[in-house]
Amino acid sequence: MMRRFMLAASAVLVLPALGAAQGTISTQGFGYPTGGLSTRAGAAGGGFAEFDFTSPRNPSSTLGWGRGGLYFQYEPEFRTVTAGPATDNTMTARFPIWMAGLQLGAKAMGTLTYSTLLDRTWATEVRGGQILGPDSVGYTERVESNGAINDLRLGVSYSVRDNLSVGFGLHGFTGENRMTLRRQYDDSLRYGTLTRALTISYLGAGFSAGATWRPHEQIAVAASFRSGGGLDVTVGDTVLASGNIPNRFGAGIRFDGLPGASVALSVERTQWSSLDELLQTDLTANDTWEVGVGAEMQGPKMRNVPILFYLGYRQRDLPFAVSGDVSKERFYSAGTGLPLAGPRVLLDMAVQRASRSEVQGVSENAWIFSMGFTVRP
Amino acid sequence: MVALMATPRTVMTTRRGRFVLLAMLVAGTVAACTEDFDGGAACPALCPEQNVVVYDTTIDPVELDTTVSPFPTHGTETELFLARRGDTVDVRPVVRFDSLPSFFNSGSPTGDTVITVIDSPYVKLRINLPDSRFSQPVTFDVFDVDTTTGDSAFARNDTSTAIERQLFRPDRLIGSITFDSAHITDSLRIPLDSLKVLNKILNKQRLRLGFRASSAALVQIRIIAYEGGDPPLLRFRPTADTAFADVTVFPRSLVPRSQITLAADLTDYVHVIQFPAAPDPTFLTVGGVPGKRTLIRFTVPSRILDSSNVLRATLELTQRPVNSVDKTVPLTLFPLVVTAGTEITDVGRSAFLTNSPGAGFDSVLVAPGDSGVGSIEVVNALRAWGLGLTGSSQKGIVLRAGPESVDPRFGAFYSSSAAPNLRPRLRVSYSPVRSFGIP
Repeated sequence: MMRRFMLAASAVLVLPALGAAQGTISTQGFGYPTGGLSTRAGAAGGGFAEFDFTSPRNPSSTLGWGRGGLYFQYEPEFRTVTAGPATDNTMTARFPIWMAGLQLGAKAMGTLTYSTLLDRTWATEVRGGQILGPDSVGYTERVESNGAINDLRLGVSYSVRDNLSVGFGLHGFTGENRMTLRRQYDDSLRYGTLTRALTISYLGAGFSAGATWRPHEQIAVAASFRSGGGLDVTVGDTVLASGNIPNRFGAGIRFDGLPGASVALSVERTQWSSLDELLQTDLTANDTWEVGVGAEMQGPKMRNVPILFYLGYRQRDLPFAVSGDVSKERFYSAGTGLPLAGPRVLLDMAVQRASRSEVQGVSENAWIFSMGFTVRP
Repeated sequence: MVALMATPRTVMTTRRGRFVLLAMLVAGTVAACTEDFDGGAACPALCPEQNVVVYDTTIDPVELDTTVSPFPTHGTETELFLARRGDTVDVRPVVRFDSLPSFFNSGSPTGDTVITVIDSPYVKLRINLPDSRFSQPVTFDVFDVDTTTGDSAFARNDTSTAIERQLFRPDRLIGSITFDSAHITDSLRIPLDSLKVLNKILNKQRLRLGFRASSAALVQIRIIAYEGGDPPLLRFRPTADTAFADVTVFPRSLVPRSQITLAADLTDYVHVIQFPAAPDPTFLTVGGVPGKRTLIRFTVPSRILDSSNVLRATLELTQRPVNSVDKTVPLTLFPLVVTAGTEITDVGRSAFLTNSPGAGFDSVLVAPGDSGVGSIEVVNALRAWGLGLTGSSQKGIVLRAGPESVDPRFGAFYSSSAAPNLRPRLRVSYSPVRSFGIP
């Protein structure tokens, strides 16, 4: 018969260094918003985002596919996080956009898009100490998160007139964060390893619509919005919290009157604060603005299709604030679009320099390389 | 000459090709980078969300505790302990040569030759010298301890200490030699009486040799046993002709005939003639000769085993001082986790079926004469019990001495039948499994 002899102590150890968290500015909260920009849109600072057929922001823009095809994007981020004398250099590989287009008659285009809404991939490894029994012991703690909330969109675009197109999208938001925590004590014979594993799942829905209008031969304007539906956060079969997918509003204008070049400006407002009720820590989710401007220039031709060059600048707020500090993110970007096989096969390449403003004494910069591959057989 | 000049169009095409090639090269280089997102420089500033709650609890978890002996079981020792410490310790091994040769190969065309004479018989012992103790000259006496009993019908009597221990007497002496301590090496030859050995051969009798050591000071000799791989050997020349090589006889026990494994075990074994008294069975004893183990079975709350990470588990045992030899010299104790299933009810088998010493647990040092609370870290046992794979295993810990049955030191602890403050306790630091990682 088991008898409880003594409940000697109940030690609740709250050591800051034990924190199992992101360790970066950009991946706070539910993760980093990759932005929904294709490689070429990102290269041009997001200025053309509302018009770009491989960017999943404006469902009306997908008429630009012209014919059925496939697009995928690889986007590694080389990040440097600096906190005083300590520096982390990391590389996060992302595949932020997959898209398939299917022509629906002469005036319509259907697309299936899988894009990353919030990427929560990070790992921290810290040293710490703890009192166990009568002794204090050092340990190494590794916390890792893998996964994202993804946006699966079924979209249709339709050409109402030669200079006006509209589009609609149904969104399903799915994904999971696979979290692991492992605290390895220095003496593994005397102390057991603390391990935790948890998979947080997300399920939500939304609707989007957009339009593109060319009132003049050299000017086009576009606007879109996404209405966020419900979002459930679950662990196993238990719903931990329910909230809403953020609403999003975007608009853009482009000017094609320059010889061999176009410029564009876009603005986006995302109501991330709808995620605030899902947060269970002292983080806060804030509504954000994004402004992007960029230029697209034609270069020499390959197989009668011009090589394109891009330049851009973009700035936005990051949605999750630490102790009220909102970080601003700025991008300087450039890129090129190579028609490897005429207009049928395009390789877009971009490089973006991102700098995120200091939060809690931590600064962060990144080089984001992006490669988009479009095939239109 | 004209043909060698590049046209503007050709130059442009070449440049485009180089540009595309460079772009592809950059793309390939970037794509080849390995993902590595390990950070930590920003902690704790940007790592505010996790706390780990640890509870520290002391419980009285003993379901069963007892002392089990002998270990190794009789006859399975890898080393034979030969010891004499005044009138305190007297341990004597026996080696059986139940099958002696009657013939030898003389090269005769008519076949093997009957042994009718032997020359220079001796028994060779392989010694674990680094772990043996002596400081004065040591006399090795060898006795013929064969008994008239010992067929399968009397197998039990065949290993009886009561009979054989009486045969270490002068009329049974078959060999003796005194070595200066400097001359005791890792291989000893003890000469035997030729006539007595020959009589055994001619009469087709068994030769069973009992060894006794004596010295002006303490003597503890560890002889490699049959199970240790380098057993004692009997050697003699089977003829007076010195041109012939020695015959080597390996030890062997022919009884009990119906139990081959047990017969092999009884090839060599140890008789404990004199040894300090162990505490009564209400105490938990570890070590000594023959070797004793302590078996403790636990009942641990499921909230600790199943729903938590056990971070530390310390078995606290209150030591009872014993009046053993070398009572101030620490003895190494190894905690072992029982691997026997719950269907094994025999405590001897449970204490035998364990993991290997040193695997997963730190050893502890215990001086036999000490008292007070000793701590043994057993966290890996509790973690193993918390796994589903070990659901059918006993939740038991065995304490054993480092060398078993070849070291006279032993320690004793209070058992669960003692007063509450003296009983075995388990101090556990554990962290309940809770959700984490939700931002």
